Amino acid sequence: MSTPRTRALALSLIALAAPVPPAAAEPPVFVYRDAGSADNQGSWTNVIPGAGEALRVDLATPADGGTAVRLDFDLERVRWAGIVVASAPGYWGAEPGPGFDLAGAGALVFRARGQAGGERIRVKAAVAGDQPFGDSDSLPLDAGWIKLGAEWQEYRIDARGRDLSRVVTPFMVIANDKHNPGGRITVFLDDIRWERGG
Amino acid sequence: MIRLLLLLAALLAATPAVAGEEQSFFAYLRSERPAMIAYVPTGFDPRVPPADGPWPAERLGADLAALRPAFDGLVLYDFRPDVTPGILEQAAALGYRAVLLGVWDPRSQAEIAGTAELVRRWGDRLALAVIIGNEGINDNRYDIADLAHARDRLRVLAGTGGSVLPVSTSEPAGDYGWPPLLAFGDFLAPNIHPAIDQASLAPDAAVAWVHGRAQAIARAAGGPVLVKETGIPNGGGDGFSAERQRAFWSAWLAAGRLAQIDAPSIFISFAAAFEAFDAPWKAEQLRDPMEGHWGLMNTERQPYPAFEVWSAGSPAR
Repeated sequence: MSTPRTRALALSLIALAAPVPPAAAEPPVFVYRDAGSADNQGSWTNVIPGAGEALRVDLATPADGGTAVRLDFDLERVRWAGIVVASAPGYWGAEPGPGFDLAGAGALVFRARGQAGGERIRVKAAVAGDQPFGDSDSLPLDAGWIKLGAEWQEYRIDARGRDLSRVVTPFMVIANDKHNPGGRITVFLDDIRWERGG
Repeated sequence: MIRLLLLLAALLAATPAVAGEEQSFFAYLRSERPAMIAYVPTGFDPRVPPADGPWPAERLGADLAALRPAFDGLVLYDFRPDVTPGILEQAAALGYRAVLLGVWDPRSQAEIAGTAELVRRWGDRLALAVIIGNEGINDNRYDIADLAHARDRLRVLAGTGGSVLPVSTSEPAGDYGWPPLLAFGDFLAPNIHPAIDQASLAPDAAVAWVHGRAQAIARAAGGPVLVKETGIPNGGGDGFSAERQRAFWSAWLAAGRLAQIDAPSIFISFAAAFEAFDAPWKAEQLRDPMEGHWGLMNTERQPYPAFEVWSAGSPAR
């Protein structure tokens, strides 16, 4: 988001609960800042597990005076669904193609909330390490399952020590029916970025 | 304090040690041609409440005798008082060497206690390890803290102490980037399924893909890995057939059952096959026909060609 913040954001440390690094000297690399922002990197194209009818993606939902990503999951139709942001539309790293050099990134940071609160999602990145031209790190970054609140909250996945010299899948979010037995959930994401340093 | 020490000493004296020195299960995995098979008894349906009395011993014996020409180890998923003790009785009698015990629900004190009792009873005859939970973090049945509590409770009740009894859990391979999972247990036991994640791969490529995933996990964890579940169904979906299943296991065994990675303590075992018998109940439960067709034998204990591949590589031959 490019709008000024008027309320404090709670900070959630994911995974190793590492100390908060000092403010990054270099500007972050945004996966999503605002709809139409020139800072946005990557394509929201790789819907999984495939058909995509169980997940609706809106990249320009009004929020906080700007926009956010809205994801509507229909987990009554499928057991799980998700979307991977790719370095090129539909790209998985199976053949030569573009990738982001995020070497030195300290964390993947994003804001999220659920429409009702209580929605559970799993956020990963660099999930194509098994492909011949995929992510340079062989295992994904993974926040584990996150229970969202109804208010915006900031989450941080520690990326220190990971090989991020080539990233073709800079963001992934999934949900499944077991973690969301109600079946249909709506999730909002914003300010998805890789922070340098740390 | 003295009373406590005496009690502890009495407890230890009454507890048979797990076979051999530390980690006899690892020694089994490193031995010549170990061969484990995931086993749920034919005719068993976990959705059906237990009947009065134990599961018939002759049926368990017939299952395990049918598998024995190819396999000398079992992978189990839960402790059921009417079934699991009988499985170990029959396994020991038929000369099986190892059992990977399972605790399906880490929050179940009864399962933990029953499993501990099996360790105490059979630890000097079978190479044992325990998998606490199976894909239950992904399925929202428990969390990582439950696994740690169950592990600690199991070790106290089994009386094995320390890390003598290897313990781990299993989740889908794609979830092993989560640091708490990567750090849990004495070894890692991921389920790595090309039929689910890379269904279009030819058998040779599917084997290579599983090996690559296992290596990535082993290097990240810096410890032993057992690929607990992998395989190709014999039917139940486009492209799945008994012949493709045979080709997968043929390529799998040709690639070897053990890989040493970097340091001596880091190895990967490819000794486990998924699974013994077709399980129609699973297809119904998971609403996916493929899930009923992982067997190397059908429900009548008739082998598919893949079983012959394992049998041909058995030390018994």
